[in-house]
Amino acid sequence: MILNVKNLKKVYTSRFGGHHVQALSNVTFSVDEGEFIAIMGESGSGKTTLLNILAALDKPTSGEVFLDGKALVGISEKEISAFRRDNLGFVFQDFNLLDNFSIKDNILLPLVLAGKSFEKMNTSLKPVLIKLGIEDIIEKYPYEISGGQKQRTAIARAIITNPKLLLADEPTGALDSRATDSLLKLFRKINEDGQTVLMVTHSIKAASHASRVLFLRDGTVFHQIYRGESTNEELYQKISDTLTILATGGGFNA
Amino acid sequence: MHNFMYFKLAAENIKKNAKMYIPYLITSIITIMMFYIMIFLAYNPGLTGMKGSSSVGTVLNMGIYVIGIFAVIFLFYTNSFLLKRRKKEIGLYNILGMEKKHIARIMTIENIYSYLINMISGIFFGILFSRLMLLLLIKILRAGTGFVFNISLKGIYITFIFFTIISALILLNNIRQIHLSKPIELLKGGNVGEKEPKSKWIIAATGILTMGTGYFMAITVNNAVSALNYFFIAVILVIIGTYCLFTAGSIVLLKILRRNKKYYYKTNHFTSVSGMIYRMKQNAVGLANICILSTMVLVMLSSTVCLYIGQDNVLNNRFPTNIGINTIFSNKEESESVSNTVKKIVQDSGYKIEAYNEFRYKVYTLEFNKEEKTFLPSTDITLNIDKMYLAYFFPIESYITQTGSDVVLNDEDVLIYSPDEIDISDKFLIQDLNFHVKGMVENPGFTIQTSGSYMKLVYIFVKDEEIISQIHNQFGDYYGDYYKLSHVIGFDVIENEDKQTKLVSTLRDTLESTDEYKNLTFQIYSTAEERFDFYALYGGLFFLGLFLGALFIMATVLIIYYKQISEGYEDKQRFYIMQQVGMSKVEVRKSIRSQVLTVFFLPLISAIVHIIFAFKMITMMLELLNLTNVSLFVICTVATVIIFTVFYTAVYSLTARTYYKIVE
Repeated sequence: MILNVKNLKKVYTSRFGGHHVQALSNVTFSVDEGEFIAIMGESGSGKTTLLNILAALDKPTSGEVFLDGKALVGISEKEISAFRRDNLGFVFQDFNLLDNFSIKDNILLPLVLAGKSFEKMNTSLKPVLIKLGIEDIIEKYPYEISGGQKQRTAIARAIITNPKLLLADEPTGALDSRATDSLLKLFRKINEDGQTVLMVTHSIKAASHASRVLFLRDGTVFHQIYRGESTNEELYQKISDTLTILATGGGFNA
Repeated sequence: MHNFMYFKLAAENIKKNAKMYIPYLITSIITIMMFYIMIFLAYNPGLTGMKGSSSVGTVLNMGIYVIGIFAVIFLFYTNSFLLKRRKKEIGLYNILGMEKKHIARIMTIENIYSYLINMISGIFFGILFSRLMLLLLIKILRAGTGFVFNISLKGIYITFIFFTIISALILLNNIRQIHLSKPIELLKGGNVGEKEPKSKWIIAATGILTMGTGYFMAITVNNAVSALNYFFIAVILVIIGTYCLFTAGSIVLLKILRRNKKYYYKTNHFTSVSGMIYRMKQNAVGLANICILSTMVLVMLSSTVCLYIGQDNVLNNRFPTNIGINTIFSNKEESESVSNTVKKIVQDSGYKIEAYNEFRYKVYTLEFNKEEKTFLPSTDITLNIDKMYLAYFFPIESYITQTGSDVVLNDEDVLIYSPDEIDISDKFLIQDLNFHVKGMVENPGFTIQTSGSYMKLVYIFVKDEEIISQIHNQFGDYYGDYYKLSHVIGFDVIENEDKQTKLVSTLRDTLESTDEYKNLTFQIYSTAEERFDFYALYGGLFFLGLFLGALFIMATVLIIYYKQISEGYEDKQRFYIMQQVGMSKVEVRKSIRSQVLTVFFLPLISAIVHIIFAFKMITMMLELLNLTNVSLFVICTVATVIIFTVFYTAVYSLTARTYYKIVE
């Protein structure tokens, strides 16, 4: 078990304490090593809040998160960046590449921040570039390449540290359908190479590449589907059906 | 669209963009205000009645032109900044279905609003503060009550016309920009990443070359006249160099650092080098502007303050005694008669003569050939200025009467005094005549009034006036046939300046109306009278220095403010991403802080370096104005630099707060 989330609760209080908004009420689930999890849910279901807590960018009101047996909640502010750098990789909807770095430097950024030697960086860089097929553009700058290429760069940046967990927030959100397809295949491939992936998404298509799909509603895990032996198409259908039932208010019990 | 909508929208826009608009409005108002005040002062009727009015008038008039030129550049610059920040908004209007002519109409109305606000408040505050400035000027000039406080219609008129034209040009420029741009570009606004320029090597090399040449000129200059000649060229070279090095040099340097992999891929260097490349690309021109403005402020303030404080030094250099009577070309008998008359007048008036000195002399500008130890009349002063000496010839008796020495000279013997270096110790020639140096004199016992100290000075004491006429004769027609000597009487009287002035006018009247002296030309001065002229000129310069200094400082503040804001918006996103990739908040803050500090203090440091290099040159030019007190200038410069640095830092920390508010 690489990730264990127990009874997570998050309440946002407005600045003057007037309003309380419950983003997560009670979230419990766990992820095994090598899994590819997709978390689905409508806007406001608490997806982003959950992801921020998993990324240690936000703290839960109550509940616990264990990454590889280590409690995330108690980590001090000082250790947290190093922890994030060493254990987590991030891919975002809007890529979040830095315009003032070349593609190569964007990818190397986490290694540089970790204080690795230049030789070590070069040895880590090669396989990642090959895996993502972006060897040709490494001297370019983010504003000179396409959206698909940007997202590949972002993935390269996320996996170059060999993180225990790769977190992806709507990674296909800003891409056209062709780029989406090839990117999802890429995620599959990375996952098959042993990388644990947790992806938050709206898109049924994106979720249909996962090995397990969790459905979030009103701040709690409402339902989940295992891929089992299904093909992508079958899984797509199952997700679609589930969402329909969710939308029409049917009651499921996981 | 209904017309009313435009007015409403325009007003809304100004309100919404207050953060950008208000500093722009304040700057324009202050610029207009200062322009009006300058005209008000320069054309004040009180000025004409004042002593030394022409120098003050000239100085103040110069101020009008400087402010005028400055206003054009500066208002265009700030406006372009404003427009750049608002591109997104304009793009949005465009996409929401407004045609460009509609946007242009809103823009026009906005500009008319700001124009009205600027003009009305500018002139209002101008009139309000003109009285204060007038009092300040009077105080600095130590002038009497001649000045009048009124509302200068001429000032209002010129200000109105001038700034209306500038505003119209700015409006036209804005409209042109809107018409040229495409909505999608407008929407993206500042977000379009700048392409890495191919190579900036050439510009950087030009920068090093021009800056180097400018600096070289400034430190190798060795006399006042060439300092004056080269100053302007050196300034222009250094300005060009500053722009080149800020824009290209900085980037070339950073790229060299980036190319060094071992250096670049270290946690600290990685973020700072790439961050600096990005910042320098965005800000180089603005920073170069700040640098040049700061340098101007520093030079202007330090030198005008120094001249103002050092007025007495200048006065003493130029006029060694309180009262002086110079008779041009007189023979010995006439001189004796004049000095008797003068003494009698002073005594009759009941004053006591102090520090009396009197001597007869002949002066030539001679070129000294070191190798052949020969003085020759020179044809081209400016070309050989290093070798030129202002050579005063005195009969030895003046020296004896002043110092009580008992030296005896033969025909060929001379005593030499020179405050400047001179390579002369034994024998030398004046054209064809042989002389022998009997001794070097430390102190000749008197100072002679000189028009300037840009040439080296030498006093040569010879046996008698006969020798001087021999010297004169061999120069032939070159220095004319006035073989007569000049005669100088100088003395102090311990009385107040009013009485001194009265005494001088008695002397003047008597000497000029005496029949016996009708062939003689007198130059009669008193420091009491001259002081007025000095206060007028140097006080005027000092006032202008303060006034323009304030204006330039304001410009610097505004540029820093705008830079901080634009930096802030751009850094916000970077700040956020860095944290996600694994930099802690503290690290990010530290990195950004050090970059921002570098960016904003680079211009100040460069300005100080400019000043250090310019120091020698400015000292020499001040010498030309008879200010020889170098240590005073050092103090003034250091003090100005310190005060300016404190001020700069204060402005920086105030605006940095705005910056951090945006970023976090």
